[in-house]
Amino acid sequence: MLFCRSGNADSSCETVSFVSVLLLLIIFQASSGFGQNPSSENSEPPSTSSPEAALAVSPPIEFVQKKFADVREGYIDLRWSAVEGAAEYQVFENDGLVVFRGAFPQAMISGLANGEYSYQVKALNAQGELIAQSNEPALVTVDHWPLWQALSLFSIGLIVFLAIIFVIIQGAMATRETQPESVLVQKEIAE
Amino acid sequence: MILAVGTILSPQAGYVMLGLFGVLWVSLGIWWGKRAKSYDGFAVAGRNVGLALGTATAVATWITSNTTMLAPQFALQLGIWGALAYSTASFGLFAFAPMSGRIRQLMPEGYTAVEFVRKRYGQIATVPFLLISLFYAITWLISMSMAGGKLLNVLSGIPYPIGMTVVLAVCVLYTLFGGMYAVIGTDFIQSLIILIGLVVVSIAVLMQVDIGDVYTKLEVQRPMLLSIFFPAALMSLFNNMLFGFGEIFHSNVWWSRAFSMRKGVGPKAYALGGLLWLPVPIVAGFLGLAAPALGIGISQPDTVGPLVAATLLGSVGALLVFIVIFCSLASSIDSLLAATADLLVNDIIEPIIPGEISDTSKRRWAAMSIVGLGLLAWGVALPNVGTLATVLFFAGPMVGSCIWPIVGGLYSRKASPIAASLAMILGTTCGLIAYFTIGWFVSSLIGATVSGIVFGIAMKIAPDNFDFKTLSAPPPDRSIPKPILAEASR
Repeated sequence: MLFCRSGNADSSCETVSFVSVLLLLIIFQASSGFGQNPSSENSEPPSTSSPEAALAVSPPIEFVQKKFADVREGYIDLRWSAVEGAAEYQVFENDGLVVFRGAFPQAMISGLANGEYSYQVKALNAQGELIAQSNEPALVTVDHWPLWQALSLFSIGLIVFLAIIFVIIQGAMATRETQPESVLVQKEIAE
Repeated sequence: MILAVGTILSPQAGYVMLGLFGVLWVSLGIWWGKRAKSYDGFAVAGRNVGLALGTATAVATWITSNTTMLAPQFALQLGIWGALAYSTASFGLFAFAPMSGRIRQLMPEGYTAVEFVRKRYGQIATVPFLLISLFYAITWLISMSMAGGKLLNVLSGIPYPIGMTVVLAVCVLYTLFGGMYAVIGTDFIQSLIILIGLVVVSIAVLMQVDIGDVYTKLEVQRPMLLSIFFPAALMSLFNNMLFGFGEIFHSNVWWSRAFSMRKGVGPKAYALGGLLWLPVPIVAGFLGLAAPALGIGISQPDTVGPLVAATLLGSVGALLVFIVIFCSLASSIDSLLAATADLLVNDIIEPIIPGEISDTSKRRWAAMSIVGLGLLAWGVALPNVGTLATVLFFAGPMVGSCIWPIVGGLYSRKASPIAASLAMILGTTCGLIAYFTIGWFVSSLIGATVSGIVFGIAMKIAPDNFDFKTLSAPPPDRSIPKPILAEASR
C-alpha cells in the first residue's frame, strides 16, 4: 500500500501501489501537501489568533482588474496583488461561496451563467490565520453570445465538415478505381 | 509567473526523472541513428515503417502536451462541449487516413507537404503555404517547449527556464543523432508509456471521485459547464474539429510520416491511431470538469489537468502525470523538429543553393536546421508569455484555410493555383479578423469556411487540368548514382 493517502485504503490504492513499486526508487524525494487544496463550499474562513493585529499591518489586497464588463464566454481570470507571507488565498463569490483556494495570487473562474457577480479575496498564512483581504470587490457582468449566433456557426461548421468528408470519400473511391500514377510513371520510365 | 511553492514532487525528484528520461531518449536516439545511413533514412526512415510503429507514431505525435493540458482547460472553460470539442481532433486522423494512401501513391519519392504544393500549384501557392507551415510548426514547437517548462515548475518546482531548456535540449539531441528513425522509435515507446499512464491515472482518479457528486455540484454551482446551449462552447465544437483537420492536412509532421510508412500502411495506421487517440482528451477533459466541483483552485487553466490528478493522487499521481506529459512533450517536439528540418532543407535551402546537393550535405543541413529550430523555440519560450491556447490558436485560421487547397489538390484535376492561393490568403485574413473580433473559438471555422467558398468559386471561374503523373516523377538528384553524389559532396 505504498503511497496511499491516509484513509484511502481501497482498491484504488492497489492500482496505485502496483505502479508505486515500479517507481519506488525514483520518488525518494516526494513530499506531501500540494498548494491547491480541495475546498468545501460555503466554508467559513479559519479563525485567526489576532486578526485585527495582522490586518492592521497588511495593506488591503487589490485586484488587478476590478471590473469585467460583458464577459461573453462565462470565464474570467482574476488576479490580485501578492501578499508577503501568504500560504493560501481564498476567493469568495457573492454570498460567501468559496470558489478558489490556492497558493497563487490568480484564479480562473469558469462556467458562469448570465448575471452579475462580485468577488472578494482573503490571504491566510501557514497557520491558517487571516493576514490580508480585499476592500473593494471585483465586479463581473456575464452576458453570453446570443444563441442564434452560436447555432448559426455550429450549423456552418457541420456543413463544412460534411463537405470535406464527402470530397475525401468521393476522391478516395474515384482514385481507387484507377491505376496508381506511380506505376504508370515507372512504366513510362522503363519504356 | 508561476510561484514555485506547494508542489508535490521535490525539485530533486524532478531532476532525477528529467535526467533518467533524458539519458534514455538520447541513448535510444544514438542507437537508432546508426540505421540512418542516408538522407532518406534520416528524413523518412527508409520509407519502410510498418503498421505497429506507424500507428504508435500517429498516436504519440497527436497526444501532445496540449492533449493532456489543453483538453482539461477546454473542459474547465467550456464544459462538456469543450471536452468533446477537443476529442473531435481525432477526426482529422480518420480523414487523413485515405489521404495518406493517396499521398504515398502520388509521390512515392516525396519528402514534404510544401513539395507537394510546389509541384501541384507552383510558386504562387507555395509562398503562403510555406509561410503558414513555418508559422504553425514554430508556434507548436514553442507551445510544447512552454508546456514542458510549466509542467516541471508546477509539479516539482523546477524553475521554468531550466525545465524548458532541458526538455528542449534532450529532444534536439536525440533527433539530431537519430533523425526519423529515432523519432518513430521513441514514439513507439512513448505511446505505450502515455497510454498505460493515462489508463492508470484515469482509473485511480475515478476511484477517488464520485461522478454523481461532481455532476450535482456543477449543476448547482457552475450550470453552464453542463449546458447544451453554452454559446461559446457550441461555436467551438466544429472550430476545434476544423483546426485539427487543418493541422493534420497541412503539416509536414503528418506528411513526413505518410512518406515514411510502407505502401498501404498509412491508411490503416492513421485510422487506428485516431481510434486510440479519441478517448484520451475525454478522459483528460474530465479532470478539468472535476476541478470546480472538487473545489480545486486553478490559477493557470492550462495546468488544470496535472493539478487535479496530482492533488487527488498525491505524489504517485504527480509522478505519473510527470512521466506521461514528459513523454507526450518529447513525442511531439521530436516530430516537429524532424519534419520542420525536412521542410527547411527540401523547400528553402535546396532550392536556393545552386547545383545538385548531395545526401551528406542535406543531412548536414538537416542537423543545422534541427539545432537552429531548437534555439529559436528556446529564445521565444523563455519569457513564458501567454497561455498555450492563446499561442497555438492564433495559428488556427491559417491552418484552417489550408484544408481545401490540400484536399482539392490531392483529388481534383480542376483545383487551380489561383484558387489555392486565394483560398489560403482570404481564409487566413477572415479567420484572423474573427479571432480578434469574436474569439479564438471561431477563427478556424471562419478560416476554413471562407477558404472553402473562395476555393470553390475560383475553381469554377479558372479551372486547371492538372496531370497527377507529374507529381510522381523522381526529383533530379535522385536519378544521379550515389557514388557520383558522394564525390560531388560539398
